[in-house]
Amino acid sequence: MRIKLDFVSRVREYFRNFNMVLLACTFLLMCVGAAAVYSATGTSGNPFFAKQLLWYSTGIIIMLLFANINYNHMITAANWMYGFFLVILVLVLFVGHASLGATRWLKIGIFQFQPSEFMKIIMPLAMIRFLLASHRDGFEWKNLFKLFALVGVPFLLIIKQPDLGTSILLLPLVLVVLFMGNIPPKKLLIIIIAGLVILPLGYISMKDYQKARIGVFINPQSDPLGAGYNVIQSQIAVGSGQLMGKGWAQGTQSQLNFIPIKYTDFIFAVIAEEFGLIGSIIVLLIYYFLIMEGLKVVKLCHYNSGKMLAAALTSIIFMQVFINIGMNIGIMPVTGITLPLLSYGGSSVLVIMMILGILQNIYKEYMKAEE
Amino acid sequence: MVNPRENISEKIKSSYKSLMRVNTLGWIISVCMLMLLLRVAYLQVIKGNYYKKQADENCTTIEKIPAARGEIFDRNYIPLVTNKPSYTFGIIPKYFAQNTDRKKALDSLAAILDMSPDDIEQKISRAGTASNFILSQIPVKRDISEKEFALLEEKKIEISGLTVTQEPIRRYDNKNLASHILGYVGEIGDDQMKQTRYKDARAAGDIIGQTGIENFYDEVLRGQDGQKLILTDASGKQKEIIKTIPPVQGKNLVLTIDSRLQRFAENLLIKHNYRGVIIAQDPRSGEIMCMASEPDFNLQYFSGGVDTKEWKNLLRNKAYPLTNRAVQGLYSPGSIFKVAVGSGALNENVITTKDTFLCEGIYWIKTWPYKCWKRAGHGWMDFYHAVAESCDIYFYKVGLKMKVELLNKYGTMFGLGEKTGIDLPGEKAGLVPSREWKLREDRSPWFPGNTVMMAIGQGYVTATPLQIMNIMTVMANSGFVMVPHLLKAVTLDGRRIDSLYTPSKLFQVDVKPDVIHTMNAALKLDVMTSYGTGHKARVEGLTAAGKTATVENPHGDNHAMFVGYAPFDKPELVVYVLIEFGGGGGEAAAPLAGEIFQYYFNTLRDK
Repeated sequence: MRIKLDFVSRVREYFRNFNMVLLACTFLLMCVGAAAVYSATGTSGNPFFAKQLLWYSTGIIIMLLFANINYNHMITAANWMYGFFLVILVLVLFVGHASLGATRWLKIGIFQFQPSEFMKIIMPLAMIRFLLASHRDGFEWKNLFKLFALVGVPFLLIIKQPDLGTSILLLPLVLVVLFMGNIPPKKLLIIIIAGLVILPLGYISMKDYQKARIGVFINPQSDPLGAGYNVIQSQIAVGSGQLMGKGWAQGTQSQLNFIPIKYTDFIFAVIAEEFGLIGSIIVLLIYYFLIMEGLKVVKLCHYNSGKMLAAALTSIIFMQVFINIGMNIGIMPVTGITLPLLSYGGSSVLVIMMILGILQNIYKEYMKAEE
Repeated sequence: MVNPRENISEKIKSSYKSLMRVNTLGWIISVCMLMLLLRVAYLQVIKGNYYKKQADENCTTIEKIPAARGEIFDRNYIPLVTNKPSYTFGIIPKYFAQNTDRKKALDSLAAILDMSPDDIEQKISRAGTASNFILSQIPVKRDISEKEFALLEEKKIEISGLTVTQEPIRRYDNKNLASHILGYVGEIGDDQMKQTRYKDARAAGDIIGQTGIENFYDEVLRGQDGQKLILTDASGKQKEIIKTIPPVQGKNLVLTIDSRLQRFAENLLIKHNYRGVIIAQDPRSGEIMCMASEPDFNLQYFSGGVDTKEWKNLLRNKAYPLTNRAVQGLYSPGSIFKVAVGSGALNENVITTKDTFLCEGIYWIKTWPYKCWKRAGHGWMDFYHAVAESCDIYFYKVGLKMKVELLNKYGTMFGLGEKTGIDLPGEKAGLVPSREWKLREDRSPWFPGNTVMMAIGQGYVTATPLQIMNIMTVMANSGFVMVPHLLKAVTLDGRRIDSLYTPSKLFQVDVKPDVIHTMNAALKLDVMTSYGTGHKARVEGLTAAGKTATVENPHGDNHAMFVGYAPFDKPELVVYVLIEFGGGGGEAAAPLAGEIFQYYFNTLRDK
């Protein structure tokens, strides 16, 4: 009895400085994710569900680990990590594992992982380190160009894979870091305008299937059985869920395989079909609470470095939510962006748990300083 | 990092600035999240029903369960057309399209089915591209053999989108019996699909009645197809049957035909190797007791879709076995028309029965000779003898007195030039010429020569055998004709009556009763006296009346005709016989009518 009480109080003590809202949202998303992945794959006989649980538990350990690493150390080590993953990204181009027409994965033993996922975290860390190192001159044009070069190299490497989704994700991330680093608004505006001018050039250099996806996004009916199939079928799935949904594991669109790759990219369509508008609202609300809590961490943090990092990490979660759900409901083009914690996949889950761990750490450092 | 030496105000300013920036970020995110929420709500609530329907269509295959057509019986409830189970091979276009090598699949199917790959492709393409059609099966071949069945079941494993379903098809135990009346069934044609009659009720590949009763009463005979809703996944694999709507068999028809009389009539013609028509009708109700048209065809060729080889033979046959001569053949009525002319002449007081005309075997109009069929001439003829002996010259003279206007009036009055409205498709109307008609169509005036030819039912006047028979029906009924019909009743299972056919009057002639009485007396002489042309139709113990016709035609020998009724006092049966190229009406046609009378009154009716 004493020992047990002791254990409980020790656990409580351990989690005393954790952000409970973030933790609760994380836990809820895992529950929803487990239910959804089970529904999407339970009948197929594949061990997706069991593996997803494994990813979740590994993710929790990773989160606790990162919650205990001072983020400042990570910023300090950013250059090393940046260099290391740059090498890996180059490596992927040569020895990477191809799937679905893209070379994104690197196989190590039985595991295969997606280095570009990790680059999402390392990029803001490297940028923050660069800005800190250049002190107050960070926003001089000379330094900004250096910063763009820093982002540009991995960006191009990831686009080459090609992983359009992740690379596009990096661009707003740069803006968020600069914005939270208190860049003068005029300069930010100039950068945005310059970006919008360059964007059409990017479209020209796209692969045909990527152009097709954007074309299909504009008019899915142009190719209903080909490229438009995903977009149409996922919208049918979402819409047919109506208010109450068809019930767990009862969705015809998902259970009869009309939704493609339903357990990863189109997991939201499965949830919306089976749990209806009510389920969709609950999922959106959990994400909203999570993101708002992330912004609260930004506000609480006393240090610019922490603010920039927390804002960047929160933005990653938000952007993934927006792009993924957006493509499920036909307001965003189809890219390989996963839905945080709900989509099946090791790299995807682990990276999000890493991000949540770092956010917890920033919060924890603030709590410690308050004490 | 923050410089501790910075002054307080700058620090506050900086943290306020970053607070504002976080809030800005928060607003942007909130707006984006709201966009997601609104879009989801739009899809699920406002367009929810639309997408629900799409999802349902996505995952259900509708398999049609074809309904059996109604059966057809004769007046004594002897089955003429029934149904038998068969297997139909079909293709579901959407899933068939998933085959990687379409050509190879088509080739191997064609080899099994003994069809060309193009034929199969054509049948699939007829299904159209609407989603509810590409998901349901298109029948490719009906009534497949056991061997084909086994081979197709094997192919089902390697080729997707194949179905073999059970379907009732027509069973004809009587082969050729009443084939023209019953008609054959077949797949709906492209042009038929566009007709309003079939537009909403039938889909490509459906079986419809193509001719005869099958066609005329298609809406009654066709049942209501059932449906099987099958849960199907994205790759076309069928998971479970969600719902089955059983088919409803079509209603049965009971015809007015007596199959024994029909068979007897057909055999009469076949026995003599005649091409021709025999119709027997109950004048009181208009019921057709038999309607034989030879040559005919074997309905069994049509039960599982037309056999191509046999179909070509039928179409090429110069004797036109597919034509129902009784309603689709047009002939000059010949001397039978004299019944209408004679009645008209008496009714208009153009002549009296006492008036006599001299027949010298030939009659001159200017330099044109018009002959009597009896080259030696009949001598002085009164009305009775003229009718009974069918003197042509008598009627030339009567015709010239009446002129074309009156001939036209009485021809039309006796039902020529107008469809009878019998319940068979494709009935012809025939023609009663007039002065205006000839001017319009022939661009030439009406000559006296035309009048004399018309007076004996030759020349421009044409009619179907059914119409020619109705001239005699007028006499049998003393003035009126009922609508001739083949349907007696519509019944449901177990002979429960759904509805009965109500006979109605087709027309009533405006002729004085004593004129009809006089004409009937003359017609009786035609059969009952030895000098009457129709005396060979006489039957022991039966008083009958009738009229022969020997119709000249440009294609060969004369057509022989006879039409008569019996018993004289209370007519029960009108019989019409046509023998193409048969020669004299009295020689060829009248004996057959006699046999029909004999069989009907002495064999059928007594029992």
